[in-house]
Amino acid sequence: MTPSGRIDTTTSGAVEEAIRRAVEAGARDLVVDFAGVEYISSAGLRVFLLLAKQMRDLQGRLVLCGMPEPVRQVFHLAGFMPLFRVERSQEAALARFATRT
Amino acid sequence: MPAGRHTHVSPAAPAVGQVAGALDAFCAAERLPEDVAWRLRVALDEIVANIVAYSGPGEARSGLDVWFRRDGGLVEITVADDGPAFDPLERPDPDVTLPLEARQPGGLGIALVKSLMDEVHYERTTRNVLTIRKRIETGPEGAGAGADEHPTNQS
Repeated sequence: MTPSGRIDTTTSGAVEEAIRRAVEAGARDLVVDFAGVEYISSAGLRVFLLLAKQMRDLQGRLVLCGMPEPVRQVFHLAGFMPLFRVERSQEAALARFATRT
Repeated sequence: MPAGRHTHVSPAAPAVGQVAGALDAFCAAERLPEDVAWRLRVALDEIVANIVAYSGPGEARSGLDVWFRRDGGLVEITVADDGPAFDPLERPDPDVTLPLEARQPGGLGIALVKSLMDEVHYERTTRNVLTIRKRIETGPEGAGAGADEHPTNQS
């Protein structure tokens, strides 16, 4: 998934909805590439916290990647980094899936 | 109240978007560095979303006011609302070391505001008045570089 722009109070509902549709369609290996994201606020963090819990319950895999500095900072300040698998690039994120098939 | 740009909106959900738009205009007019602008955007999103969440939906409110001010290397934003007295800074910060299953999304917003800003101040007058301040750090190569890096005599 490649969300873009701002993930804040105004836009987080749409991001949540897109994720919900993907998971409902059966997605269990999810890569979220933040390269096009300007910033994220706690409304967005909430979406990814719930997604992490959901993927754990579904025994799916979730990898985040491509975090620009504002996104990385907010994840870090919220103490979210240890909760997620975070890779630098989409290639590295996909490689995580390739190692266990 | 501080001088500078001012915006007044009603405390409904679109308020967050309206305030974000006013902040964008302020950031553009002041040509604020992107590293300052995104911090202000996140902080203000948290603050206004918090106010909207805590102001009762059916209650008549005269709205919230936001003042934007830049004074040299300092940006100050003041948000005033007519909700019941509520100091968001009194809430304890969430424990950010808990494992995934124990994490709750609540309370993260104001903790982020404190981390992203240099100063956060709450005052109860007849309204809730929250003021955030952020210093504009200029790189050593920039004109009028930060006093920290160049503590020389400034005549």
